[in-house]
Amino acid sequence: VTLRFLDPTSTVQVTPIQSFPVGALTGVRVALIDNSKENADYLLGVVGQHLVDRWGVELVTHKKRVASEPLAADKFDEIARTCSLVLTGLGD
Amino acid sequence: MTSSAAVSDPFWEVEDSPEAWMELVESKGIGDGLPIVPPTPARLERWLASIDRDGDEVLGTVPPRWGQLTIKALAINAIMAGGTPEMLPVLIAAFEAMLHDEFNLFTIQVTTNPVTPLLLVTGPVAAELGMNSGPGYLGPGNRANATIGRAVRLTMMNVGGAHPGTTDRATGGHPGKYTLAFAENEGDSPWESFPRSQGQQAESTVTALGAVSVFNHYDSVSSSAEDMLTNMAETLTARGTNFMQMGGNVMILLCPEHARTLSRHGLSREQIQQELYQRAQAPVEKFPASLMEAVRWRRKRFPAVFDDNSVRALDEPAAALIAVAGGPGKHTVVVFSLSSTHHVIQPIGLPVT
Repeated sequence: VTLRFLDPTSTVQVTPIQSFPVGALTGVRVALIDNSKENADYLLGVVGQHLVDRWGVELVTHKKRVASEPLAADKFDEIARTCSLVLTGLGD
Repeated sequence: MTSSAAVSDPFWEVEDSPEAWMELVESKGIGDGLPIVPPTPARLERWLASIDRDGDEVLGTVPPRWGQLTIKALAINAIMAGGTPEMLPVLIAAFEAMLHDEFNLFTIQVTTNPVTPLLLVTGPVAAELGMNSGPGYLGPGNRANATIGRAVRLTMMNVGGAHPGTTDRATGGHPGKYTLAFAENEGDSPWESFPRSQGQQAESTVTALGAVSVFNHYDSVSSSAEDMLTNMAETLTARGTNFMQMGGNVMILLCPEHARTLSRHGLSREQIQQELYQRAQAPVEKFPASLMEAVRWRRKRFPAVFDDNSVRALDEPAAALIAVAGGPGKHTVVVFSLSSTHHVIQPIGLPVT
């Protein structure tokens, strides 16, 4: 005797996002979001400097109070308004 | 309205024996390690018939997998947990609370911290479901408490996709991640219910709190409010807690005897919060310099935390969330939370037909 065991995982709907053409990085403003974990500032600093050297981007840095907290909504709005690209670093 | 379990709902055909169910659960990675009740179409039909909602209604998406939380999916996981259909409105309210942005379920699902939703049910629904608010409310032994919390956990794993060691990165986790739900002991409380004290007027509610550690505060000696508050303040100032280092909320589940002692000496809930705020301080010199630097950064939103060359346990008096739970004895339970999650109180508003 068998039974039907319903799948408990439900479905996922994925919304594709548009990729950013690398060639368009020249001169854009890039936000670096430091999650405040150990070495996140170092990692982002190295990557950010590379972007400056390679593409001449302008950097804006934000540091979170604690890693597990989302960035404040007003900061998101500010970044969306003023930046073309965001890099966030996970430290430790 | 009822919604039938459509024949198109995905399922596995399995031999009808407990051993085969468990093998299936293990091989598919859809369990918590404990025995389950198989969610069959017939059982799901009975659950969906108990509520005036469409089974395909989407309550939201559960991180980090962003699985669609339909009422059907919630019911399937609750069946597996061993629940009863009457619990469905509480489970819906629990997820409505947990899917609020301020609850920050994403973090709770993926962090290395041992954090899990604590569900406090208040109001007549708790008694209707037979929930335990008295002796042994944290377990074991009460089906409603055990299966409500377990249903939420299975849903977080199966719909949300957070499995230990994969996207659930908890260093150790904790036993409350199997289940952590109970009722408020309103009958033995000298004050209004916890949700009422927070401005929530609904008759029945579920409060969701991101619980990191469940800590027993033992005080069998104090007969005065003065002594009791001094001891309790000390429990809040342990330097190694996320709470002390990052701030946030702490739920203090006063046992009825402690609550009566404080109330007998004329203290209101607000006065207890104020007293704990003033008393719960640790001297700065007890913190190594590196930790103190981190604490100053993490808790900078509340400059008064650093008054008197000390570190306050509480960001503000209201950070102490005070409810009454438990039976006879002198054991209050302190539940430390994460600063990046905020408790949410949600009305349980759905009729069980």
